[in-house]
Amino acid sequence: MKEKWSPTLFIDDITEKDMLHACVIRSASAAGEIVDIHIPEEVRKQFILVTASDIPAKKTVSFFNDTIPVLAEKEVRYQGEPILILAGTEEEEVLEAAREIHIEYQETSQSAEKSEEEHLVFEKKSATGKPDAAFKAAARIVEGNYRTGIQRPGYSDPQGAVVKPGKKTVTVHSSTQWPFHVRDSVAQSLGRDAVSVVVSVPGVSPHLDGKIWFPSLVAVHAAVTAVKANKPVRLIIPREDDFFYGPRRAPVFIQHKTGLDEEGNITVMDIQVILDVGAYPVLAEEMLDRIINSISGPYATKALRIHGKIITSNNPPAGTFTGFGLNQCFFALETHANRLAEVGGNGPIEWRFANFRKKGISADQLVPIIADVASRSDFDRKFAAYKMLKKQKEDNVEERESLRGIGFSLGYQLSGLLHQEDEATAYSIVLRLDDNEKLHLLTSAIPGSKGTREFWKEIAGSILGIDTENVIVEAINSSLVPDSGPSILSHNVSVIPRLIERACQGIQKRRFRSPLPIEVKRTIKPAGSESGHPSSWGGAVVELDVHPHSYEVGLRGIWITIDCGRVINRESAVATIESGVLHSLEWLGAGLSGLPVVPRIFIEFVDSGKKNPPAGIGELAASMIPAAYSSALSQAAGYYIDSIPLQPEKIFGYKEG
Amino acid sequence: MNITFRLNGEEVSIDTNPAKRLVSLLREDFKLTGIKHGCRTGTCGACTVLLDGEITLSCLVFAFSVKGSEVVTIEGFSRTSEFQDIRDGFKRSSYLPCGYCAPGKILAVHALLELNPQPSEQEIYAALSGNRCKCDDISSLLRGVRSAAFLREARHHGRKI
Repeated sequence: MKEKWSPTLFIDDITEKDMLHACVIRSASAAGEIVDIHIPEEVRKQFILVTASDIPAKKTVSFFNDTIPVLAEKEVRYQGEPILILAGTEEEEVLEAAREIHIEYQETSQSAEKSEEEHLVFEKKSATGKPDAAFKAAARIVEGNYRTGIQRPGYSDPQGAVVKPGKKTVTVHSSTQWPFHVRDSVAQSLGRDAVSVVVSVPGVSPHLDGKIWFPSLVAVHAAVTAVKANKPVRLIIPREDDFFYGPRRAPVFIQHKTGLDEEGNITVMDIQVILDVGAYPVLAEEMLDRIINSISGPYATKALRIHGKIITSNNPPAGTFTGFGLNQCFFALETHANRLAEVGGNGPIEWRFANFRKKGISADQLVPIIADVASRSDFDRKFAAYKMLKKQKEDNVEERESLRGIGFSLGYQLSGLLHQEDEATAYSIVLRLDDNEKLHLLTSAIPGSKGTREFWKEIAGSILGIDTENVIVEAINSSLVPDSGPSILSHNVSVIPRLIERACQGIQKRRFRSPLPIEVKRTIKPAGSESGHPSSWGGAVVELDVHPHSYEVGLRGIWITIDCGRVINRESAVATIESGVLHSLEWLGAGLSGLPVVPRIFIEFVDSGKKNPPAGIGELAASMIPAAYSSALSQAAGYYIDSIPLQPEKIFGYKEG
Repeated sequence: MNITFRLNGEEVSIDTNPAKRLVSLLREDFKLTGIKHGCRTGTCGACTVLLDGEITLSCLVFAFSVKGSEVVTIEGFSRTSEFQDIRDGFKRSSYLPCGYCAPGKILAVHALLELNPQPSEQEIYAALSGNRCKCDDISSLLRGVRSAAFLREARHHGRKI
């Protein structure tokens, strides 16, 4: 035997002795009140049943200002809302018993039947300049309504938790991006000190931020059940439940109304945003603020009016998703920008050059990005050629078999949260150089991929001159590692590496002077000016064919240029962008399995100054690709496309008007 | 129902529900957690095994149907030289699939290289289409498989790398 396979353990691989299996019994009603719950006597005798009244302390899980009930007590707001937990020794028997439980509801009116005020969570308005006067003076007004649909995270490993209760300590295994939130949520629901709850994180596969909030809810379900049963409990969310009721990208409606001058340049923008967060908001204000702060992108306007609304509906809570709303925002903005260029008779590239802001994000930063991607993709020539072909087809000069188009879009990624839970929030890591000159990294940050873990090891190894094989990223256990914050919004690229660098500098100062082991802890307060919010910009060109009869889309090529500050590992950065492109295509409806041939993706980086700190790029592709793709499709098909996802039947629907 | 089959080179017998899925049988009864449940619908490839030498999605196979067959999971395959080629090829090219999809991907790459020792980019892409994962990017995937193919060919021809 040469070598044994040592598998990475994921949440569904973890077992405990005498463990019970739990399942969540969910609401069949999307809007109603629970009238009665019928539970057969044998089920009551044989199984552990948990209702809201069994929760020892806090009956909600909080995400800053937003809260979600752990279990519905009376009111249900969406189909799939958790009502009961059932647990027993055999998984199959638990599932069978769950089918014997019947819940009666008194249906109430759904959100669609309510007034706007009833489902409005909050709104934000802002205005600069004199929008009304500017619209009156505009030579032309262009309006567009842009809709983005849901996207499921599609992580490989399931949502779940395994909890072992104990007198002194409750141990929670959770597949989460935010271990200390799981710890605090479980402690609050059980009415225990946070330090008496220990969270251990097994392997977590790439997740598109689908494991931020939902794992805390699942962990509380398992913990409350385990404490009531006084036995370990395993709760793995079935794929069907996850698909229908799990986290997803929130649908957004954005309306752009733009006034242009005689040359087709922007004079005024009026932008309305409606974000449907589902039945309960989760980090919703953060999402809306990110959208509003970036809504006009890099474009100059003398007057700007913004009205953003968060609304609830009877859909399952969407929660946050990769991009935290910026991807939806940039789909709308850049699709609209391409339309503004077209109605003014300008090319997409030249129109952008004429409309960039002079302050803040300026032409100085964006022109090199656009010039590079446009040149490599031969954008201007192809755009003009495809436009001419379309015109010829419209004029019936020559009937073409294939429909071809090319589209451009800018993209933006902002690292770090705008809001914090409280002023005490701080992110820390610990580096320990042991007696054998091995370096141990202690952090609660979830690497998300093996590449991220290697990236951290490379940074630490290169500073201290230690081979990466001797840099060990320790397993995550909340009693052993410090709170490094939620692994979201480029945290792993913009915050953790900075902490590693500083901790390495601390070790350097003491190395060869102090005896080993040397341990250094470094902390950043995210809300302070120290953390800042590094951002990345990119430009993408998508070229495609559309089958004239089936409306199937064939990708001819994708060109991307990015400015993300210092690029530490180019290979890893390219892999991150490519991965983001595939996820974006999936969102668009051109899923991974829907790509029959290897997509040609050409990626370059602009060197904007090696001193700039590295900024995140994981969410950038999803800001660029949708608008570039839909604009290419609009040119090819000859119909103005303003919503995603885009399946062939939807493209056909556009044709039919 | 009592089912006898060969598992990772050894004959095994088990009394089980014949309608149990092979993936559950292997994970729960034989504690082989290298293969994963994944989607349970034959889409993700996380449950891939070799069944009589053919790559097979074990979530779509009933326990009774492996009677008298040879099943190889990643645990069994990891004892072979072919595994070493693939693992080393992935490592050399910095291709690091996540632990959830890696076992299925390794077996799928093995099946591809058995049939086609020098696959083209398109052939690699098509062969791995049943093992897509959120951790994927195209460049690393192609690089990793090409590197594995190179090491395997070198070993077959007795070349030292």
